[in-house]
Amino acid sequence: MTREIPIGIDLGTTFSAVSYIDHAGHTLVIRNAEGEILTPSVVLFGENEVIVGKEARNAAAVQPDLVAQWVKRDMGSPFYTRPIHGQKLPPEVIQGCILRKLKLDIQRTLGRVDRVVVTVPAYFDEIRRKGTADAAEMAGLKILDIVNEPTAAALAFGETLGYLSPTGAPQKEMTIFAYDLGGGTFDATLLKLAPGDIRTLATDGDVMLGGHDWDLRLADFAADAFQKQHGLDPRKNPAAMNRTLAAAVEAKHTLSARVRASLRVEMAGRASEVQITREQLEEMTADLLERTSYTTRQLLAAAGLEWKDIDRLLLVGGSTRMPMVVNALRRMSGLEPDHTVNPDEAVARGAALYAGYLLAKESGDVRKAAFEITNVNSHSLGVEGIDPDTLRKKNFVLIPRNTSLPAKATERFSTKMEGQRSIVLRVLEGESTIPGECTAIGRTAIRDLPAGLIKGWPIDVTFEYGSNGRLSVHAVVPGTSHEAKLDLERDSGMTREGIEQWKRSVGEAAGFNSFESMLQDVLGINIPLAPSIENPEASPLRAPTDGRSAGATECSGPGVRAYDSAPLDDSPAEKLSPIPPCKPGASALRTFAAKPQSLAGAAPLWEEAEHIPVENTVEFAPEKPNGKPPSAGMSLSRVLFNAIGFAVFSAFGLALGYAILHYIMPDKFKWPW
Amino acid sequence: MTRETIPAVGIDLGTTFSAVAKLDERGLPLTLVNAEGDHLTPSVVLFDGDDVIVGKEALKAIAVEAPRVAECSKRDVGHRAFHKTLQGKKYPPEVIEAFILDKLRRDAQLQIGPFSKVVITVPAYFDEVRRKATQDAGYMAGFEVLDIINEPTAAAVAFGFQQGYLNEEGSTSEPQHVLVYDLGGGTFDVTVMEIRGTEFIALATDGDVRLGGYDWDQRLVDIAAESFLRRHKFDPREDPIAAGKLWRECEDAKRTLSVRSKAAVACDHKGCSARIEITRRQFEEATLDLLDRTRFTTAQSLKAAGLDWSDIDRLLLVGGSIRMPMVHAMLRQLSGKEPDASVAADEAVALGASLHAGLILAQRQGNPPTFTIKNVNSHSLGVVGVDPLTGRRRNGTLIPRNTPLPVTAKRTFKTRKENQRSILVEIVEGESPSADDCTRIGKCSVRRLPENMPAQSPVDVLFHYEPNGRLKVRVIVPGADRQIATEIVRENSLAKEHLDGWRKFICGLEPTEYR
Repeated sequence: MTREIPIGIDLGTTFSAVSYIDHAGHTLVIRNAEGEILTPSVVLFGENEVIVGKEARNAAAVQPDLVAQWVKRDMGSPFYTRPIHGQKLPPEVIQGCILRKLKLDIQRTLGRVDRVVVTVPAYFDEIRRKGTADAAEMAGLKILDIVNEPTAAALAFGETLGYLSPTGAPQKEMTIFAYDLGGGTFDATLLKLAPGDIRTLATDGDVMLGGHDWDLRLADFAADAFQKQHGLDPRKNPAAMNRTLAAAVEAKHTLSARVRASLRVEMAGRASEVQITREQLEEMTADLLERTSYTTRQLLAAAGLEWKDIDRLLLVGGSTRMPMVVNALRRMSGLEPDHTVNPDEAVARGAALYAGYLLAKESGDVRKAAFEITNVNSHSLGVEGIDPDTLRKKNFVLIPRNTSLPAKATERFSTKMEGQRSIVLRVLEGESTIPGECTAIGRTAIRDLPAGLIKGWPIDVTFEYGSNGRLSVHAVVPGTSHEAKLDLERDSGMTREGIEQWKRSVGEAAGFNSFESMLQDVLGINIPLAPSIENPEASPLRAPTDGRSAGATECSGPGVRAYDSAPLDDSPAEKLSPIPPCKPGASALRTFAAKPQSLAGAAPLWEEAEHIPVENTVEFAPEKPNGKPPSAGMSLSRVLFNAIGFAVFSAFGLALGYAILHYIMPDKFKWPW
Repeated sequence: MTRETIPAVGIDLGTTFSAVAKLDERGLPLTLVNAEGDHLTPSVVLFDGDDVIVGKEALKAIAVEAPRVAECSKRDVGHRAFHKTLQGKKYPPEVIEAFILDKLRRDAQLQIGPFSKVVITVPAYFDEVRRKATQDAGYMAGFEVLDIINEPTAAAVAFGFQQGYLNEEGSTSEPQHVLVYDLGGGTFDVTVMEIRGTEFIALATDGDVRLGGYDWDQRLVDIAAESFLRRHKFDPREDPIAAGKLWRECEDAKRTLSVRSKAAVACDHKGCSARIEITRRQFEEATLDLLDRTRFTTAQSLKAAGLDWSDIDRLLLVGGSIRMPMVHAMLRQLSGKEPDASVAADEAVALGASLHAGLILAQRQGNPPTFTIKNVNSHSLGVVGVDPLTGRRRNGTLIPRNTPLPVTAKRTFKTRKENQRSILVEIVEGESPSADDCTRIGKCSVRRLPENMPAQSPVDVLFHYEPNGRLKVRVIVPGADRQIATEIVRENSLAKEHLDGWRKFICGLEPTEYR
């Protein structure tokens, strides 16, 4: 039998896990080559090998500059926080290395690797989801789907309770609150379980909040104590900081079982043994916990539910082991938090169950696909337009957050000017009405509109969001045959060439040897560059003015985010919005292959529509680069000041040294005067 | 309905790590995780003032507060007290075991709700006293111990389940011979089993209750400590805290050496520090004698079962220490077969125990058994008598080792003196003919014999040995027409009132009818 094995991967911030379903229908967790269920999501880019997991984590204490960790938090940014071997790496590539290691472990256990389901926090936006899919692609994994972590956890929980079969034991509906506090992300999700039906009601979260923040607080506390004692700051030394962080993680674990712990900070041959009590930890992290409580309350309010409507409060994620979390939830909800599922494994197991569900559906095996899963979108989706009242750019939401998927919405917009020949459609994700505060996830244009269209000509924009998280945008100009279609598919965001290049690099063939070739590609000079970005002057699409060229030059580097700009090349620049240069450090702006169809011979209908125009001017919502542009240079006075200061202090230092030597050895060091 | 049934729980109470498994709704065994999220709980207890902490945190504490930590208590089971004084107190080893069991129970309850009926495993080579002590530990932790089964047997059951032997369709018609090589953290067991359909029959068992991964760790500690001593003139083994820390480092290095060819151990002591590199070859050379002991025992037990390597269908490896490549290499060379490590090395025993628990619970509800287990005894059992020729104390064996259980054996002894009014039956376990070389299990006495019995009157001693390795003794004096079932007064065993006291202290439960 060539039954495809359902495999689920929980790609976590701090740890990853893999699960599969065996022939008996049992979900099993795959052990890695080190014999462990959890693989630390840490990558060591060694001199001639790339190591993932425990060894890489241990290396963080000695070779911090070669180690990448907590990469999931950087998903959506163009590059990992700091360069490795002097090379800026896209987070997808590092995630790809982790997935690659997991793939080898799957291969070792099952003898082969089939398509996989990878989980993401429910609150991940489209770009981060896409990046996760790209990472899997680079690792040579075929993605069956991306699923939300709380949904996966609920599946694992549902399986335990028998909800996954319509004939399962419980027949009553159950509303559960999944509180998922992982290593780096926090998700709160409301789900409704009915036999054979798992439905997400609403979801909220924080992609920058997790156990790691607790560790950082503890490490800060210890570093402060060390500094007080020895006058040195371990935070200044990456190796010492990583050791302190590792000690903080241990101390945090200890404080879940005991009321006090000690952590040792060592640096430059000095050591401090720092004592800490559980109470202290709870005090110094109360605000972090409050953030989760706030999100929790918000979510309930959004769903229009109260605690009395919740049947189970499901704990997911390793950080829910902290007594402070359990106590706070108990106090807030009046419910006893539920420990039924193993917080570390539930997500991977659920992902495998989801894979099994998809495979069964694919093969038409109704008996096995006996349950339905309904998801919601975690972020509102809209387009950028101009508010006719204020004449300012505004995010017009077509599909609000927490809409059950699949969803379809159509809205009518209108042109801004008389004789407008092209229309730019920017797809936004986010809750803010200000486009600059949202994430631009895609862009398309309709061009070569018939001349002489009157102002306010209608444009119908349709969003279709599939349950697999695929968004397709369709814009039609009534009365003309002009339309634009934009498929925001997760498998096409990063350019094909980019992924292929990295995929070759991360290594397609079996065995770790291929990692070496990856290193050559990653760390050598053989980096694929996108011409249009590499050389901003050559790009016909670059913004002609407005001082954003500094930002554009920052983008040189691996061209994995190159924009598929070819179809727009021949278009008149003044009629088109410039493709924005990518913002260093900010969420990447990715445009997708836009295929404006220009069909001649359309019969225009001269009809007025009172709607909001879509802007077509070169003016553009101001980008707020997160990273500071490289400073053009210090001011002259400052340079002078520094130089003089340096000279004075050098002279003083030399004199002082000489004086000391003179007093120690008066014969050898005579006064020069 | 499924929720109301009593969960079938099996516990592998190991020397270094313990595991808990239960059968899920579909009858599949799965291991439960503890509160820390691990499938294995370190069998380590920290006495922290009024708190008793078990598991990972206690293990971590060895590096800083070693004198308050009890590790490897299973090795001391059968002794009166744990070898170390903890916070000025001497604890019986079974009490320390009970603390571990209590933690396992509390953690499992979070997931499966309250439960009390369990099967606990022991090394096949555990003797009667140690089995009784393990059962006592279960009682003190608030459990009702359904049965005590041997670890290799449990592993074989888990293996059989995995192979599908336990279903009617999947059962094999051909009898399979399986040699289970179980090298755990602190004990070593070899059992030769025959799997015939759904029957699991132990043919022979042998082992070493003081040989396990821990000994391999100690060799690494020695290598590291001696290297440190050469460099800095201090021996870290002299200081319990430095030794504890070094042990943890070495334990980790041992794991690394299973996947890599060399590992480094960091050692700090008296302000000096060293990073000691150890290669796998070095490690293998230093532990060759330990491995040889397991090789010898393996060959012995195969002989005892009356089999050759050619008769063995599977060489099943169980226990965390089988991850060391040297074990595979040695067995491959010894047997000419490829060792089978397909069962989860750390979990198979607990999984098998839960299957056995499920079997017992089903039987209690009147369901027919899905599989049967036939065991053998691991040690010869006998009584001490006086050799009439030499006048020396001798071991009169009633049940030789590797006898299928349950068994009732009878042996006739004679009174020594005229008008002897009482008999003291001293029960010993062991292979030596000399009574003093054997382990004394306990004794029972028969009083108020009829008056005026002549010397050399026959006295029948009956041993009834149960499959769980527990012994019952009866004495029959034919002339007196009297049967005396006697309670064995065990060596180093806690009295009922002590057990009740500990039970109250450890898990807060009231005493029950427990024998």
